Amino acid sequence: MHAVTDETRLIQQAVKGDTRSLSELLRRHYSFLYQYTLKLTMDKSRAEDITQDTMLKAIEKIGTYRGQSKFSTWLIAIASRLAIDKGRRSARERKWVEEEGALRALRYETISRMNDWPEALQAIGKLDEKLRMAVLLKYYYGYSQEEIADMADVPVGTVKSRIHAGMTQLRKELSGDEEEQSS
Amino acid sequence: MKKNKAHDEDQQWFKDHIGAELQRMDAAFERSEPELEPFESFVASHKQALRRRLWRDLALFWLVAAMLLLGMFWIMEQDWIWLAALQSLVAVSAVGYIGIAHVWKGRKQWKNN
Repeated sequence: MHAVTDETRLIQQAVKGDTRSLSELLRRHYSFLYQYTLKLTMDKSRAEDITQDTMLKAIEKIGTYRGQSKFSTWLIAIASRLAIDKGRRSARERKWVEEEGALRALRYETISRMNDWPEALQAIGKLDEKLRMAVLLKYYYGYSQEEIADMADVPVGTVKSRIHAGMTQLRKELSGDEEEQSS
Repeated sequence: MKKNKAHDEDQQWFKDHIGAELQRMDAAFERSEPELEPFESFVASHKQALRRRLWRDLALFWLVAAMLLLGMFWIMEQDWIWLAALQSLVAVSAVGYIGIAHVWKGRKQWKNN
């Protein structure tokens, strides 16, 4: 309760233009934001770029934050839109090669940190980024379809179909792995 | 009701098969909370850059506005019919541009979805 009040106070001061309060807010959410962008992109260097760009955007837009959603939700929405914009800009073929390389690099690093590269992460990594975003926001972060639509700036119907397609692909990937393991 | 049930099933399946591994990944890649000082200088320097950009844009706006105004006065001095024709042309072009940009944006959004 004390932490929430403290955050509310920091937000109020940051919106008024207080640099120290905004710095404190961004510092507190830094790791959370990086973890989200890493899961979203499955690419360490893109995750770092998007995290930094989200911080810059938050500094620019803090005056427009009205507290209708949690501060962390606001940051996730900015990061999601930046990821979509950056994804649009890179060429499709180059993107595929880069994504494969980045996923491989992340796999090596995850093995060194977790002693393991779970099939679940491989399956998540294989999803198209738009599907991954919808599935993560819905089932890992617990946002509603309407909130996700707002964050990704797409109609609710699009979010529904992305979640459905993402879950279908994940079930297929993981049931295939389970069958392989059992045989 | 059926839809909600399907969502609950999906939520449970996700939690059982993927959620725990994502939590392990979060823990493995958790970053230690950085010091406040570098964050403060990062925020302060970006705010300063934003202020500079704002002043530059404002100066550019006034410069262009002054040039346009002077040009308009000069044309009006020469012949007011030319001024009326030019203003009509600008108005029609602006409406056309906004219309095309709106349609283009709609198509792009539809494609991206």
